[in-house]
Amino acid sequence: MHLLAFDTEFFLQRIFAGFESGAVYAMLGLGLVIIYRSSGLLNFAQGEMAMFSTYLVWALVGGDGGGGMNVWLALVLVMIISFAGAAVIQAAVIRPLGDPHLNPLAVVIVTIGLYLTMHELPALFWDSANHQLTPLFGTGSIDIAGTAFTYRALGAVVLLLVEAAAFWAILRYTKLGLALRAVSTNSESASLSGVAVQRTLMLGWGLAVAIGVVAGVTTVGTQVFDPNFMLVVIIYAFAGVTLGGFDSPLGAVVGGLTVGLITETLPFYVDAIGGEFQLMPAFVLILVVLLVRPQGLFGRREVNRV
Amino acid sequence: MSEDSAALPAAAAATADVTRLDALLAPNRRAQMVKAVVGLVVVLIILSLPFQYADFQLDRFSKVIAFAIAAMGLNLLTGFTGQVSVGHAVFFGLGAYTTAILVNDHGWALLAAAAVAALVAGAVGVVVGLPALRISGLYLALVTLALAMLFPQVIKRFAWLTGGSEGKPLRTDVEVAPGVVKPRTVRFEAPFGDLTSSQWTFYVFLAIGAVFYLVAWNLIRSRMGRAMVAVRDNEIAATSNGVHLARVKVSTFGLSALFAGAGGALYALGEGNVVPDKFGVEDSIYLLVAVVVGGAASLWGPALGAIAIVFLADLVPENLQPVSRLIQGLLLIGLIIAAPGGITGLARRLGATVARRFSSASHNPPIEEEPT
Amino acid sequence: MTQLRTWRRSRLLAGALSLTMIAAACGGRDDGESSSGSGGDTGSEQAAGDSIVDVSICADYQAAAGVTDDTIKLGTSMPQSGPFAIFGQILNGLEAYFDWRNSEGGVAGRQVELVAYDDEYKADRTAENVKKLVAEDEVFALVGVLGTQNNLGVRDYLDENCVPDLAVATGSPQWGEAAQYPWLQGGIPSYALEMKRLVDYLAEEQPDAKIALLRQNDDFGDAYENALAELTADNDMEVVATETYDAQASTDTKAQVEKLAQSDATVFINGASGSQCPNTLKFVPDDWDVLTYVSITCTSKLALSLAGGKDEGIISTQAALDPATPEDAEQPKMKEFLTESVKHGLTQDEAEQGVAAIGWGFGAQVSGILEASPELTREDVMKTAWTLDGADYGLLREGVTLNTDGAEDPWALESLRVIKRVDGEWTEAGENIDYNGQSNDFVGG
Repeated sequence: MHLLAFDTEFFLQRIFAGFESGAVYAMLGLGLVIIYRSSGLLNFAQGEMAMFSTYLVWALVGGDGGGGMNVWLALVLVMIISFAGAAVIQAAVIRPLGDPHLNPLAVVIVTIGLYLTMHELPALFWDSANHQLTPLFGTGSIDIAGTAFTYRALGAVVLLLVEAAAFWAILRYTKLGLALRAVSTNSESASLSGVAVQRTLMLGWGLAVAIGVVAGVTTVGTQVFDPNFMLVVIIYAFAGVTLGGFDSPLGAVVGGLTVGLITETLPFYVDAIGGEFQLMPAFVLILVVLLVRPQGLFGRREVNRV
Repeated sequence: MSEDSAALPAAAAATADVTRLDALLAPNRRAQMVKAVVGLVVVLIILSLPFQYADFQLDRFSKVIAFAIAAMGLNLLTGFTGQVSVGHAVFFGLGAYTTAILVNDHGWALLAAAAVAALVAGAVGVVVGLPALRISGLYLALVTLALAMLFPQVIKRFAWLTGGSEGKPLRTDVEVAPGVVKPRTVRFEAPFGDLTSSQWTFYVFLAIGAVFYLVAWNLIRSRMGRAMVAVRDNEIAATSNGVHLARVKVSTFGLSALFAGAGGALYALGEGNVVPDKFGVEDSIYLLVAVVVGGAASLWGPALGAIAIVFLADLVPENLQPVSRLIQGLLLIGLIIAAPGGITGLARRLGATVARRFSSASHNPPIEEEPT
Repeated sequence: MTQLRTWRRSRLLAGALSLTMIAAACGGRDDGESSSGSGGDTGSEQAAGDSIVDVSICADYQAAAGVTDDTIKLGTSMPQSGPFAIFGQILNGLEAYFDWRNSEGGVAGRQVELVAYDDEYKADRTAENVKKLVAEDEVFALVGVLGTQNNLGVRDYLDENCVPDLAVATGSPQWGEAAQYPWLQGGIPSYALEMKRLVDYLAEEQPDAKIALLRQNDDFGDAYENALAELTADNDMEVVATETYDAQASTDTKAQVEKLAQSDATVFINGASGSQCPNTLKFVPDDWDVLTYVSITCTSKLALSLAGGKDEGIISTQAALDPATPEDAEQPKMKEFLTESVKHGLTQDEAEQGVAAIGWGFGAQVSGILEASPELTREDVMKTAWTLDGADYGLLREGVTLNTDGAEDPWALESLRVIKRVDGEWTEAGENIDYNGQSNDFVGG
């Protein structure tokens, strides 16, 4: 692995690849932020939930060869299914845990239990072999200033922007958004003021997992996938929200994109990282941010609960 | 020793004599005697394992001890001090790799290598514990999870030292016949009697496990132990009661890593081979599961959890093997919601019920629970 | 919800039950094993290659464990669940083969009983499984144990106890150490040999080839890299770029491929396995004008059907018949495979996709050795394995045979032809070359 001479075109390609990966991390990050804001916990099963949802899309589309439902229609349908499923999961296994910050062990164990369960569901319903999904955006590319931009990459960024806008609108203008904001500010006074806290939390989970479906489908893109495709991606997404701030939607987007840019450029210019050591920057980022600025770039400083 | 699930049949068998015993003993004395008998039976069963099982099965029991020590260490951190680590397989792996390197590359004596390995893991634990001072709760879980993902890659990266992805065997050249030298796995050999290597290994591990249990038992009952629990329950209150937060947290982290490193060292010695991917997220989760299944903040709970780790594959029926992790996941969720105290918690509750029944017969108040 | 809860309770119950059953089943240490002693010198007419097998140094030599007058027990450990569950198809092929042979009267006049345990491709599980197979199930030999790590982890143990580990399902150059480890024999060509055949092909097509290598950060990757360094040292070829990825960490190879594409390479060696092999093909930029080579482990229809059409024009090497190639399917032994394997447990898809055929081949190879062995003792079987001469077992191509000669020639399968993917099918691009006895010569490193 030798250092390449600086090549502007190649650098541009890397930057664009960074936006493509970063868009996925940001989408997952948005889901993590909603759950953090509504339930106050880190959902370690977020990636696996998106993974399973992706399998549902794959099944509806008609498997490897396609021939079933239109992929966009399947995506929307699975988002609805996932919304409902996640709301049920929240009510069934997350609600009984109480305040997550008072019992972090229980939260970790339950979300890891969910992670293990979700991870095996494809093997239970189908198999754990390699599959491919009809891509959302086709396989072509357009040429801008001598650099080939794939539809897939452009699509990922557009989807992220749509999701972020929708998310912002929901938070800003809907009753659910208002309730979510109230709940995350202070669940006790929210419940006093008549907001049905539990229902809001359920809806928050549903929303988070539903937007994760888009992340899953985008991650897979044109690639071959198996049930492991989210294991590493979720760590990058966590690095993104750590950087942006666990409670900040804006932070999730900025953080996710930043992590994407770092992971897609650094290994090419720093030999010590290289291809087999891609996780290193993400880990260092998580560690350093939590040490130096635990609330992240855009998060609010957390008040220590006693 | 505390109430044990095995106490139930023993107690049931004793019911016939209850009236006579009632007349003779105060309920507390009686409960303690039941405990002592049960404890003795359990110890005897464990000691007799090497004569009931074939060597290859016994090796798995030895592995249980290795995991139990590591889980005990994690429990000090997670169960007693409230810091959740999803990366303890890293310390386990540090112990295992240090042992493998010292034994295979430098020809160290097995137990000397294990001792150094535990210390190395403990020292790294202190270093990791320093940032953990500022990072707590779910964030610490996140950092340790990422660390566990990274660790196998780090091992592979330093292949010149660790053997890379092929792993590192613990071998030495042995002259198996005149003039024929072959690499053979390094093992414990019984210094006396005609015990097989596996039988002797089991006893050596058991003795080491007992030492670690005693250390933990004393620790929990010490000033330090009370400080740990105080930190878990309420950091600010603990500080105002004169607990030195940083010192308690960092030393617990180091100690916990030392336990895990010792467990890893024994794992390497028992297995005779270490591979990088053993020490990642999956086994970190298993260790955490051992703590939760056994019962956080219980000393012997992790040992029960360790049994689950090693024999998990056998516990799941063959036709459900492909989805064994799904079953684990559902069990975990079910357990944490239905029985937050783990198996030991369940046993304690059952024990308390039984004790109540005894004491109500003689109109005495129920026995107070004590920490195990 | 009620249903879920009932189900969960019954699972718990089942778990508790099986715990007690294990405790009961494992009880009773078997101290009454009788040592069968040395098998004696039965293979006196065999060649010198068998001299590496010396049972006098075995810790506890059981000459005919697992063999009765009408049965023979074999064992294997393979991933059947987890990320590498796809290799379970090798087991399906192996099982189908023995099922078929049993229905035809068995192997060496005996019904074959195959005991298989799942190891999820984890070396520590493999070690547990193998010890159980040897000590409890008392299998005669192991067949097709998968994974370099996994076999390395049990190699010392099997060597010490003198248990044959046959048709090992990886091509690590380390299986060439027959003098040191006479109880293990590889089942597929050495990875180094693949590179040799490729370089010989390039010598004709592109004598000044500039090579870009994508490799795994494991033994498989080392084998490719070291062999290539050795093979390109004295000619005009050059390895101009190498990138590594971690096959176990579920990361993709996109960044690595894009980095390699920046080099001026004219040949790209795609040393990825599993799902990352077809993925890597997809990552190759359209404007990168290279000849792409895929490893022998990535030639199945199962893998390449997932490459999204980007398998066109790639090359690889081949020693066995491929059920997905029409002209191969016309060969009598392939016809036999395609009809019999489906009758004995394989699905039509599995039979055609190529992975199960590997298992079928392993079964045939081991059966052939067992039947050629003068007596069914571990010593004779291993001596037979080390003195194969022109053996044609299983689904080998015409003109490809198995030849061994102990430490002098530890590799059974050393003939490879070069194949090229044209219109979704393999066609010959370079004829079969027999490198008998040479696989250890260009390992490098």
